Amino acid sequence: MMDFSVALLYVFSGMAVAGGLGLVLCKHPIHGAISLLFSMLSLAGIYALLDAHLIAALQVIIYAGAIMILVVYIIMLLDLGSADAQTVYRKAGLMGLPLLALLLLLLGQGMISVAGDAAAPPLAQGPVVCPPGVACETDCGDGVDQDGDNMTDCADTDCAGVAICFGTVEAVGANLLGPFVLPFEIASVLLLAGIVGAILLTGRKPGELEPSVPPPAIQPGSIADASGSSEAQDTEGAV
Amino acid sequence: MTALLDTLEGTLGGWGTTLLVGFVALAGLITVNAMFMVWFERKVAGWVQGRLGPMEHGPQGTLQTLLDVVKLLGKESIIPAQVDRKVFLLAPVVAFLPALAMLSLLPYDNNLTMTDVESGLLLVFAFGGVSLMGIFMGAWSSNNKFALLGGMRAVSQNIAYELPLLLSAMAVVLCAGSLNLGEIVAAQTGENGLWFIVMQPVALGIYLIAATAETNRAPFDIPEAESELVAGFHTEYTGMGFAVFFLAEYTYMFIVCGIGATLFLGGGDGPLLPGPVWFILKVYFLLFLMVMARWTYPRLRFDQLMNLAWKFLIPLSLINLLATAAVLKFVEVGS
Amino acid sequence: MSAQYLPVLFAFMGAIGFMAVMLGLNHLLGPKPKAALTPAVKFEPFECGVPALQRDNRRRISVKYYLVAILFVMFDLEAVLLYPWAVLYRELGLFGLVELVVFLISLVVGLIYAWRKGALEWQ
Repeated sequence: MMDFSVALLYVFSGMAVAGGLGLVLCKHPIHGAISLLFSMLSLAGIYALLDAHLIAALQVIIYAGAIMILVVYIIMLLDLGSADAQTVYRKAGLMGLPLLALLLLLLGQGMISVAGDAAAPPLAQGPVVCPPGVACETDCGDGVDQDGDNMTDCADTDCAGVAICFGTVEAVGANLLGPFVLPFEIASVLLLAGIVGAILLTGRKPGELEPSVPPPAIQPGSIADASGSSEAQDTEGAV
Repeated sequence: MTALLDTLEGTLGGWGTTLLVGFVALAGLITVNAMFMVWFERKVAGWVQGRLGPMEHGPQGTLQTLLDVVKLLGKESIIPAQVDRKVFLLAPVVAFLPALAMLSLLPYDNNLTMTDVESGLLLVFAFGGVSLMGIFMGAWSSNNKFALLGGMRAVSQNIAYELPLLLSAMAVVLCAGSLNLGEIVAAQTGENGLWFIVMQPVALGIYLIAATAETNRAPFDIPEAESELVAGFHTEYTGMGFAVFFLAEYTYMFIVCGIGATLFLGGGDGPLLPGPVWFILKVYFLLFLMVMARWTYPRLRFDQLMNLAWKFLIPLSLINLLATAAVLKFVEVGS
Repeated sequence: MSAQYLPVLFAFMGAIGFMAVMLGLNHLLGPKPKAALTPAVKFEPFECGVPALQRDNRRRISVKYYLVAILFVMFDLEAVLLYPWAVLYRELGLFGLVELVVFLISLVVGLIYAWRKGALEWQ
């Protein structure tokens, strides 16, 4: 089983990297966006491999679903075509080469230093070992609240590192609504700021909720007057 | 049959056999469901409109769809000259791929499910978003203004209705205390279990409306409004390319109704009959409601559609969520 | 990988196989008329009986679509962040309700703001 997961990890990583390369190298932005979609899905696969159940689902729902739609909408809003990419980005690509070299250097250095460390310890299988003198949730699978803090099993932050709880909604949620509740709330304020910003950027100016120019009133004689002139009809059509 | 299974088990092992049998069953389910639903829908339409519907092939026209499939297989697949070939060919695949994965997540009965994923409910909703990209890809690559308009409408409508879908399902999660589909069913079928339709009728209503819109069904079918957009995002597709989009649509109808039956109608819970039969019966009951809605209500205009989602369903589902949370807490404090 | 995701992975592969069979069958059974005998108009984008006005029909879209998409991303994130809360609600005590109200306030303020600014109107 272990070897199979490692093989899958390489498959998913390869797909993620290929998707990323496609994003950069595809001439048409929409092709790039589709490559990005496959990259996002591969990342979700890697999260699933790591037993990060909630994160894997969120990756698909937020990135492969919502963000991808936003990306293709932006591409279509700006009407980017492959022609733009050829004229502008070819030269810019050359300028990016030194940056790429620097990035690869840093990444390689990071990978070498991490490879030297011991592998991450495997998840605990048995009971949780409490710090001396502190009550904690010892058995994470029995449905009993051992330490009396109303949080049972995986919903108790003590259990976050245990194999049966790791990455589950309960374990992530317990941390999110426990020790990290302030960042959680700040995130909601941040999203509110995002909503306001988006509306301000795309919306009309304040006080312009109604169309400022009222539609021209149709005068009784106007249609008859204009009927002889094709120019007048053209302007009518343009409005 | 058992001999065949034994041979399979000898070569693949028990787990592999289960998997293979499961997938053959799911592929069968996809095909049979689509063929049955097309026939069923035409029959219901006939019944609503006081006519007979298909009658020519087989008793009551039951073989009609099968012959339609054979016909589609024999059609020429035309790739128009100015389409983006790669994306055009990839689009139906991307639209259909998540369908089988979503079907494999549904709990057909207590022990009859392909896999019991930790956060199954979220994963099902997530895969629905991926299939939306398939629709967009088909619309964009076709290089046809009808297809593009249909695709843009489909995407905007789908994202607008995903919010009420998520929020109404959240009210059920609140009652069940789990995202695992098996545990949600278990919460409704225990000794004091009550189908969530009793506790969450509002959420069920929101869910059904949003699910109808998510599957681009009438009265929310403006992405393929034939009177203005020809056929919407699959205008340029012929033969199997078209059939695959069609198959995906009917499969997603089954899936949203399957999730609806799981969340609100107790999954495979019911007397006398075995669980999977109950599950299928409930799914087709919900599908019948969807078909009836199609032949009862006129199509909404696009602005009405967006208003319904943003100004009615989302506030309503937020109120429903808050009310559920408050009631649950008071019951807890009271007891 | 925990084995619970394996069937999902295989389902994706199975779906690819299913697609290959269906599209392959269509390719085998479908007619393949010779290109020389086919009029070029057959490969034109579909149009209601008149010659197409432009070759490239992928037009710039309205900013309205973008606004809907970005509002969706924001509200989707908020909705999805509430799911862990919904799962844990019964164990959180009164704090859970307070937490929801605080979270909902920011969401509802965003919704009301968008409503008042006319961002939800489709014109």
